[in-house]
Amino acid sequence: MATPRRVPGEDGIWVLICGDMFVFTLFFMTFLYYRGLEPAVFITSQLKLNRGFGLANTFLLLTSSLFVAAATQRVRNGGANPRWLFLAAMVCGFGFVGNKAVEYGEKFHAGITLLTNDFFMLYFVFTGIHLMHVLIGLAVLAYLQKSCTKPNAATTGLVWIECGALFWHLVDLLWVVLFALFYLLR
Amino acid sequence: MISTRAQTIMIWWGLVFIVIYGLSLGFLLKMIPLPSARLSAAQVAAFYTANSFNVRLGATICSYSSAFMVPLAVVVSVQMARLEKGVPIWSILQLAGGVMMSLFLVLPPIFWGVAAYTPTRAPEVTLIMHELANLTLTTTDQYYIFQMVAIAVIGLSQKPEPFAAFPRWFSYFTIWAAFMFEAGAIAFLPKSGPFAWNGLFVFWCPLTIFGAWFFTMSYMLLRAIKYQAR
Amino acid sequence: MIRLSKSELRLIGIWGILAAITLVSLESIHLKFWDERLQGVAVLILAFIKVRLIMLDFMEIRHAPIALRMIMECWVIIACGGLILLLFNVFG
Repeated sequence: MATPRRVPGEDGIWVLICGDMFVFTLFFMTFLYYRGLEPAVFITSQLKLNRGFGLANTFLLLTSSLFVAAATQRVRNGGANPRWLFLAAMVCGFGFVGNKAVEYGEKFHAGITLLTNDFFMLYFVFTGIHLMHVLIGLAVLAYLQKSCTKPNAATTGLVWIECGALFWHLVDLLWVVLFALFYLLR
Repeated sequence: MISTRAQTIMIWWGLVFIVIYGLSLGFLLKMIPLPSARLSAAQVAAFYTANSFNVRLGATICSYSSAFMVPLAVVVSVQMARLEKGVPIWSILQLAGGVMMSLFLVLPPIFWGVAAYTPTRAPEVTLIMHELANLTLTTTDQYYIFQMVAIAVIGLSQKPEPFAAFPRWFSYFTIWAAFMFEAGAIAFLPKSGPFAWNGLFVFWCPLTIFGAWFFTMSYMLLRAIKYQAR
Repeated sequence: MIRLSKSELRLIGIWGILAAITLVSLESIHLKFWDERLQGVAVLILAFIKVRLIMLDFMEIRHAPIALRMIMECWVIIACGGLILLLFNVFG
């Protein structure tokens, strides 16, 4: 049985998602543009980043996205305990935030700030703006874990739950590229 | 019963004034884009000496036109209030935010005018006025948030109606616009690059998105008002 | 025991692929390429494969109307391509 085609969430949310993707694409291009101007600075600065943190963060977000996707499906199909999955995703999200706090703290301790050089300016601002998205996403997830237990969750409430889930996946998606650019390019 | 004519007049008033403000900003004040934050006091003073007349003329014209957000915010609130039940608290928040954010469009031309007012003063003094103007223009997002979130809340809580002033996609667009302005505050930190006061994300993005939002909001309102009047 | 539906197993499979690609791209740091920048190309392509998977299967674009899917797929190609071109300083 072919799944009928439908817009995930609702039409309007894609304005927000595409808008955010557009501006982050500008961020990505800005990063590579400035990297092209000062490749040596960028390459040596990049070595000061802790890849372990980046990798852990990537796995935390990928896993949280899995939980959110599964939870959304459960809400839609009447499956069991979607709330636990949203909560598990939140735990991953808080892990990401904690990780970032330690990572930033380590940099500040070493005397590195966003004024140190262009690489670190872009690093702190772009990952900082992404972090803000994660924080907003956590608030959204908090709302989702509560609203998925309401009786109307699978009907009138489903749109909101899907939209919230889409925002979280967006946060994950954007981090995938940020991780590649900041931590993996040699 | 809200006067269609009064609302329409206010929207057009806002539209005409934003165009005048924009033209003045670009051609008289010569601040599209803002000059580099790396210029020395002497270079900045030289700019104001060379452009003393046109900057002061621009400041005069902006004196008349820079409060263009006020009439639009009033019409937005009136349209929001007809959708809200009871005391229209979100509409009041929108009005408060919309009117206050006006301040930060009103002040920079005044500061630029002052910078150009006495070309013979010490360059460092002119520099500080120049910095004050530019940072006021770019870093002040405090009130947008209240205005835009209020609009989005009302827009997203409505049942679909034809020619709605705040359809759902527009609410999401408004939320995105609010996000985009937030980067402005970073301008305090670097003096060059995309986050300086003349940078891509601090100057160009907010400028274009603000213009796009203002014209789109005006269009949606005019359309809605016309439909409500029939 | 926990009973997982077919679609949930599928999601776990997608996660597995994402995890695997992440590790492969991490490994690419240690490989030798005849041009340094090719490592960047590999990293970018792998990243956008992940992005596409997240879009299609977590965000459910796979079952979205064709227009929306096409827009998103085009973005993946244009963004990835544009970034690769920037890597080679094509835009100077």
